[in-house]
Formats: sequence, structure tokens, C-alpha cells
Amino acid sequence: MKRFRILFTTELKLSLRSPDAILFSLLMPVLVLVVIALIYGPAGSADGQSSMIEQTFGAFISIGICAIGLMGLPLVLAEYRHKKVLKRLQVTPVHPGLLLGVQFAVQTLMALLSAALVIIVAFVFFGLRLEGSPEAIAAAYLLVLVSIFSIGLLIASTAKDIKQAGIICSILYFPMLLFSGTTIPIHVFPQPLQTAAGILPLRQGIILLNGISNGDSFTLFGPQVTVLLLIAVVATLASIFTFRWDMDSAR
Amino acid sequence: MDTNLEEVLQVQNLSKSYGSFTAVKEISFTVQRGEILGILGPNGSGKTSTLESTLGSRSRSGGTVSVLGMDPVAQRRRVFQKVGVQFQDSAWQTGIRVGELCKATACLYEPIPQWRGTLERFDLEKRIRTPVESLSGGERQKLAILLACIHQPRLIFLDELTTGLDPLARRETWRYIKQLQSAGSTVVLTSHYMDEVEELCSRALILHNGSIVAEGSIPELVSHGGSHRLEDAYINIIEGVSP
Repeated sequence: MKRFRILFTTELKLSLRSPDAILFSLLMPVLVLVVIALIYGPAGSADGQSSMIEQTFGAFISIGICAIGLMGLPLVLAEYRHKKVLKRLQVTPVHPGLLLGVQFAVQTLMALLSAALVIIVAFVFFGLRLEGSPEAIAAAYLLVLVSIFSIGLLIASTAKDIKQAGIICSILYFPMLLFSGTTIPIHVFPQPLQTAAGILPLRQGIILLNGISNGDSFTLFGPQVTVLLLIAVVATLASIFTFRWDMDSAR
Repeated sequence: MDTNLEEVLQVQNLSKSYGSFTAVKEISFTVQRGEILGILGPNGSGKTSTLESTLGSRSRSGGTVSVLGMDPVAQRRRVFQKVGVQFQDSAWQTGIRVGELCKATACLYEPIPQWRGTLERFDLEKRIRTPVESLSGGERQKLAILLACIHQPRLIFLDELTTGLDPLARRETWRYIKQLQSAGSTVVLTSHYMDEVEELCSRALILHNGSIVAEGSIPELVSHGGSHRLEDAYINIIEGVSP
């Protein structure tokens, strides 16, 4: 536990020293919220209907998950392999699971900070009111986070080098960011594209999060919960089994 | 198992190929407890490939390795609790500071070793809050050796330990290595400096094109090379086997 704490503190400090992490992980989600709120109008409609922000609350708090899980997490680990930091760690007694776990925990904290910023800004400036219970929203949020992060871990384990990791991250990140209903509201897309977007795990996560934050029950989202859980388990296990310290190292 | 405990490292028929290029050709050697073994050879002769495929940092193409009676790949975590390694190109996280790196490295061992004393000894304690990338080349090299030895390892691998160090730092590093040796550690090092090898090593092997072309105690190598100094003997040996 002491070991975990020391490594966690070190990696968190390094994360907070990185301007990329601050900009893309912490500030971008709030910026998107503000821009969308200004375009669509913040307040709820006069007839008591929930506002645009409330209907798509799940999308806003998912931007951080997407940026951190599909960019921050895998690229940090790919960079550690590229810079031979992992090679140095291979010749110490550290368990690879501890390194992955520490990075997962650090990036989770970054995502939580980014979600907290979004919630505070939405609450204070745009009159956010949510129907769903905080516990249920937190549970749905964590499920989406674990699922998307596990994809990030798998990229980190399998990418051949940092260049390839960057390409895979971009291929997954930008479509998920654009077509899952995070930055651009999903309803502006033609119906076939909306249907196709359903294949993106983050789209399923946002459907779940939007529903739960509007007060719907988990039981309505069986397929979403199943898909997200399945991705989380399979991708995490696969990332542990395919983990390499260095591209030429013995396993 | 106890009967063979004096041999802390056994390498048998070790090979390493990169595609069609064979960097290490079925070499075998052993290291006895308490020895300092030098691995010498020109650039590209296979020193680093030998060291790294012995440790599992690179995959082996053939052969067997036993480190303290264990397989460094299958029993990696147990092996590196007792073994320390300094690579030629040491690597750190971007932005990490000296103290943070020492702390994060020390905590990987059981029990967690003290490291501030060694930092003072290497004259690095004033650098504790300095980012590692802002250190001078010599300071970084000293830090790399310090980190490799932070847990008082029984067996230490040092790849070009004093490259980039000034004469004073070199002497201090030598004293430190000898002190580790008298405390019971065994050392395997690669070097291009024959004065260093004469000063530190009890035995050396000379690699050329991935094969061992000479091996023995320093006096044996000197006479084998038909000279009075190791440097001349080394050059004679290498020129003797070069086409």
C-alpha cells in the first residue's frame, strides 16, 4: 500500500506538471460545456422541460473520460515504453499490474477532477438540475470510465511504438469525441449516422449516462451495461496479458 | 542448489540475433561471487546485447542463463530484488526530480532502502529538487549508478559505468564499486577504459563480432596480448582477430 501511495503521488505530480494533461483533460470538457450552453441556451424551458444541458449531461462529463482514457492514459504508458522508462522498471521487482494500476488510478483522479469542474460550472452558471440520484449517476459514470480506460490500457499494451499508439488513439478518440454526442449533439446528424454511431462504446456509455442522470432506472439499459462491462473485463485482461516492457524484451 | 552458490551468474551458449544479423554467437561464461568481471570489446562487438539478453531486457535467441540460481525471465521479480542494473541509456519520466526518482525507485524494493546517504556520497543531495533532465551528463550518470545500487544488490550489472564522468567522479565511482564489492556484491561491467578495467576487474573477457576472443585474469590477458599494459594487449588481441 505504501508502494502504491508513493508511485501514485509521483505520477500524479508528473501529470499535473504536464500542460497537455491540464489543457486536454481538465479544461477542454468545461470549455465544450460552455460553448454548447451558449449556443443552445442554458436555462430550462419555461414549461418545466429539462434543458439541453440536462438532457445531455452524460455527454459533457464523458468528454473527460474520452480525452483521458483514449489519449492521456495510453500515451503516457506508450511514452514510458518509448523512452525506456519501462525497460528500467523491468529490472526491478515491480509487478506490471502495479504500474498499470497506478496509472489507471492517477488518470481516474484526473477524470474525476474534470467531471467535478463540469458539474460545478453547469450547476453554478447554467442552472443544472438532475433527476437521477447522485449514487446512480456516479455508478454509471464509473462504469463508462472503467470501460473506456480499459480500451486505453489495451492500446498501451499492444501498440508497437509511440507513433502507432498515437495513430490508434486518434482513430478511436476523434470519432468517439465527434460522433458519440459529446461535442456535437447527436441529433444534428442524419439518422443513418446516428445509428452507425451506436457501434462506438462511448455512444453506449452516453446513452446510459444521459438516461440515468434524467432519472431512468438501470434496468432500462441492460444492453449498454452488458457491453460496457464486457469491454472492461476483456480489454483489461487482454492488456495485462499482452503487456510488454520493451518491444524486444523477453516477457 | 547450495553447492553451486559460488557461481552467481552462469551464461551458456547465449545467442542474440536481430533479423539476419547475429550480434552474440553462443557465448558462455560464469561469474564467481565477489568478482568484478569486465566485458570489453570494440563498439558493436556485442557487449550490450550480451548484457541485456542475459537480463531478459532483450529476448534471447538461444542459450540458458542462471542469475543467482534463477531464471531472470521466469523469476524476474525475485531476481531483481537482489540484482541491480545500470543501462547505457538511462531513462526517466519527463519532469521527474532527483528526489522523486530516488523515492519512487527505492519503494519498489522490500524492505524499502534508505537512499539519502548515497545521494550525499555522490554529491547529489543539493540536486534533490532538480529535474533529472537538468542535471549535467556526469551527474545523471552518477544518479544512474546510485539507482542501480539503491537496494544493496548482491549482483550488479553496469553498462559503461563511467562514460561521461570527470576524473574525480570516476575515482569516486570506482571507490564506491570497490566498497560494494567488499560488502559482498559481485559486479559485471562493460567498459572502454582499460585503466578502469585494470583498477577494478579481477577478470575480463574480450568480445569481438559477438564471440569471446580472449578471457582471463588481467595479468593473463596482458601476457596473452604480448604486452606489459592491458591497453596494448587489448589492441593486439583485437587486431589479431580482425580480418
